[in-house]
Amino acid sequence: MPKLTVDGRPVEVEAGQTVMNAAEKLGIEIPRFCYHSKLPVAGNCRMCLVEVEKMPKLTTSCTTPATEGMVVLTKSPKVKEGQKAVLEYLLINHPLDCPVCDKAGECDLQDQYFAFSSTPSRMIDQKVHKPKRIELGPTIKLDQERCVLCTRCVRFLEVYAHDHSLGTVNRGDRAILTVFPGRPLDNIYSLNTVDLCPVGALTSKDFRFKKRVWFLKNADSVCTFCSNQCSTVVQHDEGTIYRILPRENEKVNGPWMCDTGRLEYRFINAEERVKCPMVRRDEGQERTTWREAMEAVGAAFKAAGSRAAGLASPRMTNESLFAFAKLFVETLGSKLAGFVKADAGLVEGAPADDFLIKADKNPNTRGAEEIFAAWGVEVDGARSVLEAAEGGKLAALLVMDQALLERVPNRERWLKALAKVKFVAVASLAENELTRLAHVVLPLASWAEEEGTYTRFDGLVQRSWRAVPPRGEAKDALGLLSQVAVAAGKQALPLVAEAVFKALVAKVRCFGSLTYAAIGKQGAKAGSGAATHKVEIVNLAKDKGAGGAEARTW
Amino acid sequence: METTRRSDPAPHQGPPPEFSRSAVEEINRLKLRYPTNRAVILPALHIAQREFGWISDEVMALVADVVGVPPMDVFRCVGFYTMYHRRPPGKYDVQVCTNISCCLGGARKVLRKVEEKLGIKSGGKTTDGMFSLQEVECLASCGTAPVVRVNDDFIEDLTPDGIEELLEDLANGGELREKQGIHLRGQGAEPVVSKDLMSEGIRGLEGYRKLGGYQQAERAIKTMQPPDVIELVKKSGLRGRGGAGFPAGMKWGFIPKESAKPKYLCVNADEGEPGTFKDREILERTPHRMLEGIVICCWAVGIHTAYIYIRGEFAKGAVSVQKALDEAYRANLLGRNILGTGFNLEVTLHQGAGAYICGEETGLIESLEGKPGQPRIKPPFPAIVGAFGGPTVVNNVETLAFLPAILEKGPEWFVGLGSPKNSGTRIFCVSGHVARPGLYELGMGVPLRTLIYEHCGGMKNANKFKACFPGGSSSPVLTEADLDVRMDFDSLAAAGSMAGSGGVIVVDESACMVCVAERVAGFYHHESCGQCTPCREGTGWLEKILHRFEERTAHKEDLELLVNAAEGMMGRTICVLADAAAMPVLSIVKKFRKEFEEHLSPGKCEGWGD
Repeated sequence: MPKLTVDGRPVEVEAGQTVMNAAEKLGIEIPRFCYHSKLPVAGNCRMCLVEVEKMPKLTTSCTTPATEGMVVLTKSPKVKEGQKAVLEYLLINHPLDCPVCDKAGECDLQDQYFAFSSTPSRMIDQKVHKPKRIELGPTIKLDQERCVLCTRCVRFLEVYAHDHSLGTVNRGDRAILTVFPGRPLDNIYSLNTVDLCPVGALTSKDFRFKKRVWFLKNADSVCTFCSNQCSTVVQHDEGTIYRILPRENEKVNGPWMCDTGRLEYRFINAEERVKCPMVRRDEGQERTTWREAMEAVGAAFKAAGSRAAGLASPRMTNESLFAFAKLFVETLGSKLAGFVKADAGLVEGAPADDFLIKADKNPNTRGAEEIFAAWGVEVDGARSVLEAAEGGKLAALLVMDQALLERVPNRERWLKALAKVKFVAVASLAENELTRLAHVVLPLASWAEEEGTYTRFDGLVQRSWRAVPPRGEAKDALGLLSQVAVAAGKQALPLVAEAVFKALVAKVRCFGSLTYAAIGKQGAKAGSGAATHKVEIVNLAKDKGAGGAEARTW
Repeated sequence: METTRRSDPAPHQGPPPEFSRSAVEEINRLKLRYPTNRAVILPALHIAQREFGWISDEVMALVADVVGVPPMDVFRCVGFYTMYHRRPPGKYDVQVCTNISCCLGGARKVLRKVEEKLGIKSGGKTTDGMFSLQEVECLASCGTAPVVRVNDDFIEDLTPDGIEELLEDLANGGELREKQGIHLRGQGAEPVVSKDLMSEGIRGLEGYRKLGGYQQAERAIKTMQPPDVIELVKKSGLRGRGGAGFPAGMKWGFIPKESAKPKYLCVNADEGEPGTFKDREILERTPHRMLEGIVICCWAVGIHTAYIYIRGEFAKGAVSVQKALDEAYRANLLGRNILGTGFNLEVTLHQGAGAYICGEETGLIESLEGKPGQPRIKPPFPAIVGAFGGPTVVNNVETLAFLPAILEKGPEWFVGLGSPKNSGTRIFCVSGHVARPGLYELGMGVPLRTLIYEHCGGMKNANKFKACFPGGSSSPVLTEADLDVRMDFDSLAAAGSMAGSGGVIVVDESACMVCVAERVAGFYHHESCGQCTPCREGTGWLEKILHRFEERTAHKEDLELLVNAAEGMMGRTICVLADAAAMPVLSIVKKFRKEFEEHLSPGKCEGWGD
């Protein structure tokens, strides 16, 4: 454990750590471009120069091992001069097109020039010109003039995605970042390279020129596109989502996430969203008011009595699932409830890998299982609902999430069965086959429009904050479920997520004594309760088509 | 000014390329010589270029497939090394060296003649497909400058008339023949490496053995313990002749005795420092002396695998070394159980493909591993983590060639040949404006004045001496005031320069130092590997600023800018290429400031004195 001093402050680090690590431990910031804590060291940008006593030259802090008794200076005149020089070299051939650069406002080169140089350019010669606006692949455009050749992107793809698509070719100031001719960068993790890019060289085609970044507001969220539940930031402005970025969380995703999780937000902004309630009349579905729609739902559920049923989704928050179970089991007194779990093999998106993506495409399978178990809803609840529907025994059914049936293997059987139900209400984001057979369609808020928690497959409970208000007249699941209760002539359900969570913790033992405060931004696991709860993570893709698969997909 | 760029690739035409069966077999055999497939990329690309004439995108993909590596790995090499053609070259690919020594010898005139004769510029090809033209960097023919390389053949001591004749002859169906000038011009009282160099017989094993060859290697393996060999070499004070002058014995001593990974010797035969042309001569004329040195080194350090990394441009050298290797294998001087001693040693010749930076030891190792020759961060040093992750010795050709004599005659004898702490002789490569440029093997510490005025016959045309690079173009220049400096590592360092690779480039009053500085900067700009920011961006900037002086469009403030731009790179990069570019430029600005100031006003300078 070498002890050293950085800027006069003593620090002790693990053997093998670098001067950069030691400085970081003290909260001393050293500027850098190529260094990234999650990538192998390249040492090529030369920005992180420091002065070390008894070393004749400045040295890069990212490559220099911290040793016993070392005296390091990070802000000496010599260091400042070195940093200034490196920044000058970085900029002599840089296009300086910040006004039209997508990275402006979050560019390391801009920020570090401001912080460590701020001197005018002395370059009066012709700059080196390189190709611009290169289609690197389906997700990314490359500007080779802006590129500082730090190779963060190359290293990320090689180390994490086992992808050798990107590389630097040519020598000296003719060097460029590129793909092999005719072989685009087409990797499900490609957009991480845009985050890693310290300049505006790699830009996301999805985000390019949509918004200046300084107008964006952040909401901490959780990705709901697979059971890995990456921590994310939803960036939005005036009710529109522009970009989803990974939020660093060592327990979940580090600083990374997949492109599916980043890009699937688009349906939230989509014009095709169900924006107001619809009711089926003779000529088909018609727009209606919430009041009218709920009157129809109330009437149907009142009449149905114990022949009412509900289908939930493991994409719902813990709070919504809790309210859902409470509504059916306690308020309506129906035992016919369950949740339908998507079949991984039928979900669009990459198969499971050794990095982030998981086979189970539902974020909250574990939460759903735990909560429903606590309410005494049978594990195979959805099968009972299906059989009851087939037998014409269902008078009223509430389906949360119209997308449920798109991802089950026995979809046709479901559709046929549901046609026999007297009254079907579907809470929905968009229209599809399921909403078309519904008697009432209720506009539902998306995950970014509501607050709540999700339980990861490993028991980690994560919080997601509301980023934007629900589109049109959509209601979040808690509000919607409460309305159903009221319409059915029962007591309203709680509407505030934190209050529901408190009730949930009191009822569902495996949540231990978790609170919103304890969960925080990085998530938390319940005590021993969670550890004893065994959740089977089934690789459904592997079992697809096998005889036993069907049972597990209920 | 034209920035040298790799030209865009030509599109592939016709059916998809396929290797001949023998080429595939050759590549598969090569795979057995290296621990990784990736290391076969450069040799496989040479084979591909031999088969297809040039490297299209499709050929890159084919090479990747046959070698068994991602296509990007191949692309990175093709983009990095200048010898792989991205478009079909002419039947005769004319490569005119325009580095300093050649320019001092009139290369600009030769180039203009070629351009005029063929009607094309560098990078172009005649419409009949007969000739393509490239301006290239130092070809290690500095003593016989100017030189033109046509395909693989060197045509030395050229004149504008000579090149005209040659081009006409080739256009009329004449046969291409290499024309070498005389390289070795002088020896001191006791030549070591250049001993018997001019006798034809020494090229072959039989001749070398007649002169006592391989006796020392045999004696070492049979009678000496490895630590004793290291001790003896340490005692001899032999310092590396590649440039840094690091004591060879000490370098060997850093190699751990026990190592989980195999240890390697990499022979640095990537001679590329402008003004240096000694290793080329050793490789071509006395390869066995180097091979014997390799055997001695490997025995001493406990190495069983050696690679001779030879400059791609040294096609003749490669043939000569390969022939020597084959002879040595047949005579069981290499291979398994050498001379029945139980000692195994595999030696493989590995050809580079055109990149100065591969002369830097870690750049060489990267290149050997099949990557662009981008130097590595040190530590770890190659002695601990080198080629393929194993402890590695990197020694220069000349350094190794000294070993047999040191073993034969003893360390004291070797010490006596040189000056204090600078043992032995070395081959000085003298080029530029001297009466008799060439190779001179002399004791270390010979005064520069003696070297020029006694050995080299004084200045050419009895002109006045102006400046001299004493150790390749990266060494700070010396002026008349320095003529009495002793040409050894320590004396030259004390004089503010360095002995480097032994490339002594002499400039007389007829040449303009701004011109010289611009050419130096241009070379390092061309060769910067592109890894570290200061060097990647700074070397080109230096050339651009110097070019404005040349064009007489520079401003007064540009002198300070030039100095700043050069100083800003120094000591801030992974390897010392940035320093190698900055040091000579700074020294020229410092010592010839008046010439730069003269260039601030309109006028005409001496140029290259041609």
